[in-house]
Amino acid sequence: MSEPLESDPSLLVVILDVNGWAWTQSPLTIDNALQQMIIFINAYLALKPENKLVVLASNKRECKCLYPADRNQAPIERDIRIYEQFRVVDATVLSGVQAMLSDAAATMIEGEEDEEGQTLMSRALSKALCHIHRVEAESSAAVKVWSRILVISAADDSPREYIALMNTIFAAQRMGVLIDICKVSGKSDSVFLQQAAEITGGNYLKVDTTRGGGESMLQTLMFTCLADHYTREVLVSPTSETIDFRATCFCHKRIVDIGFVCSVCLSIFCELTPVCSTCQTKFSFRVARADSAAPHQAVNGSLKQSPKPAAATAAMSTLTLS
Amino acid sequence: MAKGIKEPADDDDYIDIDDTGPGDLKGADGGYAWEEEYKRSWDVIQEDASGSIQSIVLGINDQKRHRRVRDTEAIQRGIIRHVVLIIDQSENMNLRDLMPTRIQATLTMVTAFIGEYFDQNPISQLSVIATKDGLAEKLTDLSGNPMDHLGALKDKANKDLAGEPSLQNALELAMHTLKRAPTHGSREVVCVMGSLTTCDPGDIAQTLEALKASQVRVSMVHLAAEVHVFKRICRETGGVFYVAQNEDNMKDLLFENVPPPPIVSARATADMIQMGFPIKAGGVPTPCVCHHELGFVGYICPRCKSKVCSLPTDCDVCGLPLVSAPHLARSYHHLFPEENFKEVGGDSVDSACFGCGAVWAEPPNDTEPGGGRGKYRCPRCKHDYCLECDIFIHETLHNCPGCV
Repeated sequence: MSEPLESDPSLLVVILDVNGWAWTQSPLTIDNALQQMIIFINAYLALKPENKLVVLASNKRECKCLYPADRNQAPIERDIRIYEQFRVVDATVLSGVQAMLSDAAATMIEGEEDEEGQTLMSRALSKALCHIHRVEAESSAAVKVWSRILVISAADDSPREYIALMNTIFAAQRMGVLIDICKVSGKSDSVFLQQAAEITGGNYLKVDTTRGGGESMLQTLMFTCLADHYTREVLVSPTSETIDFRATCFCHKRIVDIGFVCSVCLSIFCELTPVCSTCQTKFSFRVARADSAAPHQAVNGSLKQSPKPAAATAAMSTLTLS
Repeated sequence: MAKGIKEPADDDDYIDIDDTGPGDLKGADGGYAWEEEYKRSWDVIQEDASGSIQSIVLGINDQKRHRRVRDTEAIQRGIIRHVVLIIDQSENMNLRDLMPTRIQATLTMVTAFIGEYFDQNPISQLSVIATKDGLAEKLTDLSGNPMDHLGALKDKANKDLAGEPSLQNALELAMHTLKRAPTHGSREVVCVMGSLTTCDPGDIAQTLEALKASQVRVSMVHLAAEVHVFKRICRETGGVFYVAQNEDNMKDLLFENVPPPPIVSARATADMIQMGFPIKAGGVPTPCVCHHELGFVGYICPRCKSKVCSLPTDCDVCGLPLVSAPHLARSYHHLFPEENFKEVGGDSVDSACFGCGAVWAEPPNDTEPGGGRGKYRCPRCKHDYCLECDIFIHETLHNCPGCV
């Protein structure tokens, strides 16, 4: 891939988490966050006239594209005091978020589903990558568009999204798309999104609402996420503590240094078992040694552990990396 | 040819043929079969209502893109692979039917193949063998580090072409290399040949028997034509034999070897593989055991505490395979493949492509069967996608945005 130039335009996909429940748990209100996000978006559009923007919003049920909006939407009235593009972006994004929040509220009253603090993040990221792919395919060969994704996340990780999320992260890595994460919720770090930032070379930012009040999110976004690919090469990005890429075993959820991996489904175990609990494969009683030239080590075949398929399938999806 | 023979089209945009040849060589509409590919492209281009030719040019480009329909059954695949890549370096590779020369085109494709192979199969291994002057030479031993192989292919000495190739020697050497591979991993040979002959010291049929006995799967992409002995070896070992028509076709055929092949049930043994999950080392620069160079970044082998500079790899001191959990996650999409989308016409629930939000190019056309070209529906979530997103979802993303 060629080096980014100063004149190259960018494509920014903003994914906004509009999970109402998650925002109630956060120290920052969604109004406040939305205001700051819109200032950031305007700053981004003002940086370069060629810069392109896509805004997606996602809650736990659906993922919608807010900007660019459908053609059949009502035209926004003009206001000569405000730069046209800012006005269009601001109005479409705000009305879109409002519509989604009221939709969600309406379904919540009639529906009996218990509210969870989870968001369809893998769907939002998949759609974001589809948008990026479309823009890159349509742009001329002479001008390279450098793309990045900014996720403003309030909700917690959903363990069943693990595989889908990893697929999107690797796709982003192959396409050279940076994923910046802005985590608003105060409670816990998102392990999955941390990995997304680490693998794609983006930043993982946790908004510190204890100092500087609510405005610290804008400051954080401006200082770290506004920079394009070209500028990032000369900037020193905020360091996060290094992520431990060790695996947790599927059987006891222990963090393992040296583990045993099923050769069929790649499940990780901390000790030898006769049958893989995930895919029900029976193992021949030997351990494939690392140096394959060496003879296989014989193992005493008196293991009597029975497989627990249900527990293990759940474990498959909760493969977390602490 | 094994693949890609075009169906005779029903329009009459072909170059007219005046001479009359033997009837059996004639294509469907009077021209020779090999001429059917050439259309008078200038006749097809017509301005649309607004006087622009852009839409028709896009249409032509769309026809060139093809969707690869994949096998999407959740079958057992050999995720841990051992592949030997055999490259023909005989004089025949100097021909210019592939641009700029066969060998240059091959090396470009093979370089791309190696990158893609390790991207999709991060815990697999590869070895490269070259054959020329009736001999076979191992350029790289089985290794999981793409840099080793790419470095060897860049080496100038490995681009010299000489004499005839020897498939038997190359296969024997490949078999010898693969003997060390553990039984839970697959054993595969992928050949790129440009020669129509092979210069062998003995009976290649015996080599074929030995290949079958040691469960090696041989696949080949030939750059010129079908050769009986090559095809037979591929067929009898369970591999595939293809003849490349041009550079693009060659890339497609070679890249079919990137996803892991289904496991033949006869030898499906499963093992538990001992693997190490190292911790990142930081702080002061220390030398690594793999290149003996000082560096800040490195990973500490959990068994012998030596430092390697990149993952995934085998520890150079104790031989433990070192991976990180995301490397294992990278292979999951082979195990749970995305279903093929169906091309649909007519109305759809989505007003625009569900992936990229592009509005449908043409209004749904119900009068003609299969009208409303360019909509592809996911059988599980019933959302519609454009061609661009369909290809992207199946080749890069491996996630249907509607299903996740």
